[in-house]
Amino acid sequence: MKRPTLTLLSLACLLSAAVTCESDIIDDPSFQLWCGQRLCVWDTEEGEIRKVPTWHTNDYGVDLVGSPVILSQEARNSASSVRIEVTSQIQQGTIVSVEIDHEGDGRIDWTVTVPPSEDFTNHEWRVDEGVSSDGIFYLRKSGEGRAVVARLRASRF
Amino acid sequence: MGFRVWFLLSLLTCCLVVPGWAAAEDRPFVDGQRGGLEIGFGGGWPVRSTAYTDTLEIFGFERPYTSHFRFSAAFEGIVLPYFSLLLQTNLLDKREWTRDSGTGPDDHYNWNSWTLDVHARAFYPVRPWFRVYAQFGVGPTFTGTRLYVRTTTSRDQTRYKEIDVGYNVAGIGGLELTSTHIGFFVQGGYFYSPTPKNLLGDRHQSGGGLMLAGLSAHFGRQR
Repeated sequence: MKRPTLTLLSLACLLSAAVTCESDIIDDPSFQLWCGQRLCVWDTEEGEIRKVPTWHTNDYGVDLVGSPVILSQEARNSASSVRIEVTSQIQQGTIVSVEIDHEGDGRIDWTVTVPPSEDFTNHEWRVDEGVSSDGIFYLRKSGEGRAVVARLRASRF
Repeated sequence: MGFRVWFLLSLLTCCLVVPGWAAAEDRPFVDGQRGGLEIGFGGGWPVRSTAYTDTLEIFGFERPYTSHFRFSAAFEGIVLPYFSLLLQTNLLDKREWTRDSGTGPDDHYNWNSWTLDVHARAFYPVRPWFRVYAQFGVGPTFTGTRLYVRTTTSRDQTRYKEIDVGYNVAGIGGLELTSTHIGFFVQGGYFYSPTPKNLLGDRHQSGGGLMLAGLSAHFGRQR
């Protein structure tokens, strides 16, 4: 292969890598990937969950059934600052929170309660403490009311 | 045709009429031919934000592409000297939304809305080769939606197709210049079409204003 062709190919590869560089720290932020009755990527540490349609029959959310329910996922990458986005529908009196264990040492370092809402609503927070690649994200529900989370996205800020 | 019939037909088509037009009843349009075809192309002014698009934004969709291209095709049958019925189809809306999936390829959601209407047209032949018209139409709207998302751990996306059936009402005004068989027309109007609808009950308005120009053909002269 000639040198200009190789150079062009290398540039194309570099460009491709840059374009596909993913800023997300956790996988399956939209709770789309289900392996039967459980989420493929998220760990259900406690409680029961159910796959439910949201605005579209095939755009799913996770229904956190009963109380308590705890989902968790290890961070894929580290980040010095994190943006947390949650789209959810939470009945009044039900508490849903997002928690971060920055180092994966079993201690919760950051937590936020998602405000309840009758309709699906977006909320966003910034976590300045950052997270290491050993960090763990938790989605926790307490209270018997209905709580559906359609999206929990954590990305580099 | 008498004034009263003209007036009744005009009321039926919800068109404003200058009563004096009835005086021109002796002028047959395009030599009394009774059938016609119309094909038009143009642009539209879609409704930007609706409860439906707001919900898409809540669920993370963004960067919408909205097509302003509009298309229309119609078959016209002149049933009375100044009154015709049309079977008409229109491309009303075409949009594409994208969502950053976080991992893997972006999610996509798009839709196309088409109508299949019956229109009642009241027209006035200013000359045998020139007419102005106003029309009112109603009929079903068919919206084909496609959602492309990952539902397995592989990077491949799954396509989910659905068809949403709603209704539309339309008001259109236009003018036409024609030779014996081939003509040219321009028309503008507004469509109200509350479709598609999502599972949360939010509706879009696929209609909006439009302006078209196109070609017409006339045939079927009455002996």
